[in-house]
Amino acid sequence: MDDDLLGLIYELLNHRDLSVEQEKLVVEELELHGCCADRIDFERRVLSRFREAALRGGECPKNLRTKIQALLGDI
Amino acid sequence: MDQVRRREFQEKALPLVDELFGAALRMSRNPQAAEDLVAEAFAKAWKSLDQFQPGTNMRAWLYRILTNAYINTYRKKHREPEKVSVDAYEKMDDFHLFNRLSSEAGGVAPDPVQTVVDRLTDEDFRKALDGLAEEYRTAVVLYDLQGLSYQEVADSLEVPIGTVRSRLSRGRKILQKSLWRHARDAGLVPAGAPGA
Repeated sequence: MDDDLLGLIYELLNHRDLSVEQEKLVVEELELHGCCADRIDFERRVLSRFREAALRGGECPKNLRTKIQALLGDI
Repeated sequence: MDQVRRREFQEKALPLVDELFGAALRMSRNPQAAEDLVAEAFAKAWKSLDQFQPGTNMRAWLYRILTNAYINTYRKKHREPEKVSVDAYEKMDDFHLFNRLSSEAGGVAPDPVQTVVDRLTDEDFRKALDGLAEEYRTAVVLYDLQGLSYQEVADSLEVPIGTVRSRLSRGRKILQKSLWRHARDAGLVPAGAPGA
């Protein structure tokens, strides 16, 4: 367990790289450092906004898939 | 190349074009470069399909090829200066944005989540991300935005997992600092609030 509390919250939010037992330990560790639900919710919202913004600002050109299919056919 | 692998590639890889483009765009910050990178990654993957083990994670494999293409072709041509010093990061606490909004924007934002974070625009978030130094941005894009595991990010960047964790930690703190600055510049916090 490292001491990067923000990192622990992100692991918790992403539900990755953590077993159930590790997740329990993360929550205990965060509570130990006074990280209450509102702080975790705040980081959840920030992460969500980053994802939404990246998604909306990164529309794939409609013809890219067609171009790639053609490219694979040529190889 | 055997038909099973070709078919698996067609079925599993082509639907990933959109998300790979999104990752390439956030890494390169340039739509044309992103398009080129995705095309290059698919061409490389197709050519080396015999190295892919059927049944293993094709998505992670493609991200590895994409990231490698980015590092080897694009990044080397576009060296960029570090935008935030490591010293600045070292002085920051884990909850920079939350703490500052709570302590300095209280009058304006009794609930910082609703009143400030929701009022920041998509552009503010994208600018914050684009402003990150490349090594931090790549780690954040792959782990936080695209949902790869630590191990997959480490494999993609060809660095140890500890380095991935460290880059994520620094990158997130710098992002928080940047968001605070955007909130202040947009007038979402009192004008007198000190800079980040």
